[in-house]
Amino acid sequence: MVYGTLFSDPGENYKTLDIGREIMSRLILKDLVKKFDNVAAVNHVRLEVEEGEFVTLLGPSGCGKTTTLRTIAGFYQPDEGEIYFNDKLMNNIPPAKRNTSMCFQSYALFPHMNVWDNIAFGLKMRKIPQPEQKKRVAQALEMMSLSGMEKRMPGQLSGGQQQRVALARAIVTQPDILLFDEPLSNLDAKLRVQVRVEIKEMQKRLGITSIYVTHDQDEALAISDRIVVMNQGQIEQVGDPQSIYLHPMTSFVAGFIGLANILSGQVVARKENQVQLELPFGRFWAFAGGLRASVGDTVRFSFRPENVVQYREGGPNKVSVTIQHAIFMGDAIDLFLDAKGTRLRARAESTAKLKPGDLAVFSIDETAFQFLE
Amino acid sequence: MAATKQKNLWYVRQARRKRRFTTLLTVFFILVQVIWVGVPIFMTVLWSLVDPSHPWSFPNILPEKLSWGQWIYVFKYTNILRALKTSYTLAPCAVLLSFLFSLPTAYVLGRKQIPGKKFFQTIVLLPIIMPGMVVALFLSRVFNAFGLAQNFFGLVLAHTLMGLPYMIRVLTTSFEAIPQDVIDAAENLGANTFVKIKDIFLPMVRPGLLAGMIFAFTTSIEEFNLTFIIGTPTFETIPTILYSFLGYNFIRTNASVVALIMMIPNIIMLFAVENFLKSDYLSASLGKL
Repeated sequence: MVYGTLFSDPGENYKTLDIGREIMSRLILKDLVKKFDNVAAVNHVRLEVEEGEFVTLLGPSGCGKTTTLRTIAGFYQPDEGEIYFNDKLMNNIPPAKRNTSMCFQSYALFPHMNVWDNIAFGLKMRKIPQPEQKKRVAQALEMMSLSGMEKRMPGQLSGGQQQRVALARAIVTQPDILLFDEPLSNLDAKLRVQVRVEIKEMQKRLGITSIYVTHDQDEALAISDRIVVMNQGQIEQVGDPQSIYLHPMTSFVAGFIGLANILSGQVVARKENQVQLELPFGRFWAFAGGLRASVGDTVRFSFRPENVVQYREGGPNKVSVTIQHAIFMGDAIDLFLDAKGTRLRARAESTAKLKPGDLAVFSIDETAFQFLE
Repeated sequence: MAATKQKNLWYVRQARRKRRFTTLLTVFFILVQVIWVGVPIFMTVLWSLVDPSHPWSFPNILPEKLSWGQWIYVFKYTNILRALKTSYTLAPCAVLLSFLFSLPTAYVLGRKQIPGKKFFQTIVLLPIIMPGMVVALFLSRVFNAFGLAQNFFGLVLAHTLMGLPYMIRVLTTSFEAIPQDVIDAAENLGANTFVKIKDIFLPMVRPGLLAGMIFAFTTSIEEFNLTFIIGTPTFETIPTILYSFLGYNFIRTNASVVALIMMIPNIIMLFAVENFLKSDYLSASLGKL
């Protein structure tokens, strides 16, 4: 890898760093609505972000995540609702006075300024005295492993380096809230994975409340304290990465994050904490969790491919299937199964010998069923 | 033996044919350029150096005798020095004024969503496609009415109007080319409107600004129609002197001298600015996006 890590020696760097702030900000969005041509891009979004928390807005393009972010930054005026930083209402405060820092997908560096002037721009605007400016810019440069590049122009830097300059420029002003607008989507896949870890590490160290927008579910799962899944301007589900992945509450969340088999079926029996579900390809027992449905109701639910595995003696929920496709992925085999006309996604260990057309018996874990709204 | 065999391979032959074609094209274009630009300049220089007592007439391929006679004549018997001064005072004033007029216009046309934007962008260009004399004839009525004829400020205004379309067009494109993200980033970091204009917009449209200024400057230096109608006889510029040698008493030798006087500073300026534009950071950094 060409680029070193941001913190090659974390302990050492941490001592020299006083970019972090003592005062951190909570962010509260109250019933935020933003319309474009009478279509609500953001539709009654309610969200509270704790001090120092890293929250990701995740969703497909056009779901309102970027609009939400830009409304927080002040580039858009909300049509309804309120934005608070701590207890301060921000609705009518112009972007320049909000003390947020935004990292753009395009990096948005000033092409006519060298690296140093780019980073120092926010400090100049805040009328920070010259010696203090120098100190802080130098620290930010060192933190981002950019020392020695002060005099370069953005056009002379690689994408990864431009990204670092953008990050340095964002944190050097000690913002109340850091805003990220898909900052990694212009980097190649390997660098993306590396930089996201570094962003997370930096954020934790500086303790700056951060809002991160992405459409990449892996990125969201890897980087966030909490994920806000958005769809069509509304929040679908809020939770930490584990609960979002393991306990999706709507079919949108189940389908958008990871792979899922989303089906519906009738409850035919109930005992203690379990329900029996009638499906076209058999009857299955599932842990009910908080499910309130009674016998006779039709319910929607999902389960992950990794919970559909080859049957072993004593395993739960047997299902006979025909294998349609078996795609070798290296760490596993991705399977498309046909269960009496219903298509199921499943996983097998990479050593398994499975060919399209084979008949096989699989089983579905009772704990895997997630009931959806 | 092996070498001859290789020479006969079809792709080697094709590559060589291709190379020959490229060379031929290059030679052709250089030739056209030389005929189109080089020959007239060379002829102008020759004509300007023809000795007054030895006219350059038909059977001679080159003038019999060269001298500075024509140059001395022009400097002695015309107001060329005053005209030079007028021209080179007018042009910078006109450039400055058209800069001040075009900046807000180009900003709005380039960055704001306004109804009928395309229409306005076209309207702005209209003066370029109108015949110069037509514009001049009708504008001169307006200038007369406002007492701007035979008046230096009137002349500056006239030259500004002629250069404005180029300036607005080029600047509009430059403003359009600035990514909104960069402006948002500046605002996000605390820049107010004044800082945004001074530190972001102006430096980023600089290449376009320079190009527009060259257009406006050369337009002003070459502008004849309006200058002639509303300026003479109070003001003479290089073109009005040049035109006085054309027309009924056509004197090619003197006209060549004035043409060179008009042309040389422009050429120098063009190269200077071209050099300046080479440090074009903008395309370098935005090319990556």
